[in-house]
Amino acid sequence: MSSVSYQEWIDSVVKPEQIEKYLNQGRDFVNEELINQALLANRQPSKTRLREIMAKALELQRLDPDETAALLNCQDEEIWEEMYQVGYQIKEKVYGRRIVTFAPLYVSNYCVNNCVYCGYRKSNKETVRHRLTLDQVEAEIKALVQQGHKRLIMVYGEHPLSDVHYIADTIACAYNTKVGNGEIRRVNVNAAPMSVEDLKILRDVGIGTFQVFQETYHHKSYQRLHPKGTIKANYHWRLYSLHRCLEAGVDDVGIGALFGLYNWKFEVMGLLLHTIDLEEKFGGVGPHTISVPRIQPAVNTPFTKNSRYLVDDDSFKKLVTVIRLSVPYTGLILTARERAEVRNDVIKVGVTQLDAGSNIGVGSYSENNLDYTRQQFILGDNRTLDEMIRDLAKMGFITSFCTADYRCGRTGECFMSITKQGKIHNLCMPNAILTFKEYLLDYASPETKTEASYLIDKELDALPNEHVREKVKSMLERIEAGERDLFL
Amino acid sequence: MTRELAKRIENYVRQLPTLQACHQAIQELYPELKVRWTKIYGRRWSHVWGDETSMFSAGRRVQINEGWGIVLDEPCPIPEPELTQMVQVLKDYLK
Repeated sequence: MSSVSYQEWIDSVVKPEQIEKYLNQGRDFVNEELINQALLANRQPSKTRLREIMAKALELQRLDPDETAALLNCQDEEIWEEMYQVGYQIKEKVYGRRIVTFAPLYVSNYCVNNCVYCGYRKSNKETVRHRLTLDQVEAEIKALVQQGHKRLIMVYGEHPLSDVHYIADTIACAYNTKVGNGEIRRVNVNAAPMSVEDLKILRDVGIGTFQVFQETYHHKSYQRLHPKGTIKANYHWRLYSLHRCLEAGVDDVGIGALFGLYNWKFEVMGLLLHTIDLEEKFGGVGPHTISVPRIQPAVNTPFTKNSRYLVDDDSFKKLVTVIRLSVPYTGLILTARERAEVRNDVIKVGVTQLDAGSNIGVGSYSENNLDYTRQQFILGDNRTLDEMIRDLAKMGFITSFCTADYRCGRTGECFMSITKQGKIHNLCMPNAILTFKEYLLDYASPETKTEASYLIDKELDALPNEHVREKVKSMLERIEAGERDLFL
Repeated sequence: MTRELAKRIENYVRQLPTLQACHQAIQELYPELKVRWTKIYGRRWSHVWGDETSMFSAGRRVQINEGWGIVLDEPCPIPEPELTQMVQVLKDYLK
């Protein structure tokens, strides 16, 4: 693409009026003065105040910026231990002892951008570029289904070769591919910001959640890391992508920041302000999920090791905890970027979703290979899905492949209304039991069957509603008899 | 029932958006029925309108047409034949 045609392409994609309508008196919601003041004004919170904030979070109320800043500034390790406990309690209260599991599927790594931290940046000549054909998508889906996956996040680089029509075609292919009892039942999407018109095309193909991560909320850092002249340099086009998504009728959206690009406390505040702005503008509907990717090494990408803002493991656990407390009712995703030991530790402070058996090389599932030159970054956790399920079972968590909510109208305002009252697990735990049973019957190794089957009876017994329990028992019998995809 | 439901919807549709007119008419005929309205996009049934407070229990999905569906609390208080008739009437209003 020549520079002139590239600019024309950018102009055809970005719709300034779809940004301006969401600004607050001409300014975006990332009020840096407010963030810095909150962090400064709450730099020495007392134990009493921190405990009051924890109590508010336990009541499933979203925290305000001052309260979040106070948590971020806590210097007392004993209080942090209390916060970890509260994070776990909140998670159990809202979502129960289940972990929703998915796989990432990288579909195309062509990219027009030049983000200095990304292995897929245009100038990285060591990355091997590939865009899957529909036949290759089908092969990838079959490989994932044969692992036992039911949920995907499909990931696309920003490039005319992976425009919305290509994305829609590949999603339709994913939904249409079956292998025996298996199929993908929910496709979430991580792709570049789009216009409302394009998002309606994705809506119509039936996507689950649409994710766009702001990378960094800090304006100057954003400009520094995303070179001028690229489409990604447009901070506001990205910042309001999920507002447009909700406007288009895809009412489950996922936000995230890439930790390691700027000060992690600032980024947590940015995520909170993002949540607040979405909730204010869309009748209480904030993000369905918050993701906490931390920068990881990538081929020929020295920035990933040199950034002055790299986050150590201890700070990472703390930031996840503060997010859990600040937005207690929202799903929290921790990916296989992190090493297994980090994930096993951080899960306990309130994570709700994990990927497993992940391979992020484009086309790598069907080839069953690990090729760093086709990856955006290098994964830290290479456990198979089966191993992950077994490890979670040892920790007392049941793996859920539930995809019922978005197929039963429990989306957007409705989903938020249920989760904010801490009631979603009334439906999701039964569905976790049912989908876990399917996994055990269809895909689990003998070892996993031995070590994880106890969770079915344990969680069945723990269901509080007798009528629901009986219904689930009956459905389990039907699954044993060969039926699939039963849900409440 | 078919005629009565259609008549009530016709009355309400003069004052309310079509969806709310349908909802109002159904609630009058079946006050005990909890109903939520959804737009169908492929596998996705997106919540549009209705009683969210009753969503704490499992619901029964009923597809009206390609683009619209309703979710009803179970046990559904409407006899099956009447439910089928209701869906037929709704098809005329929700395109």
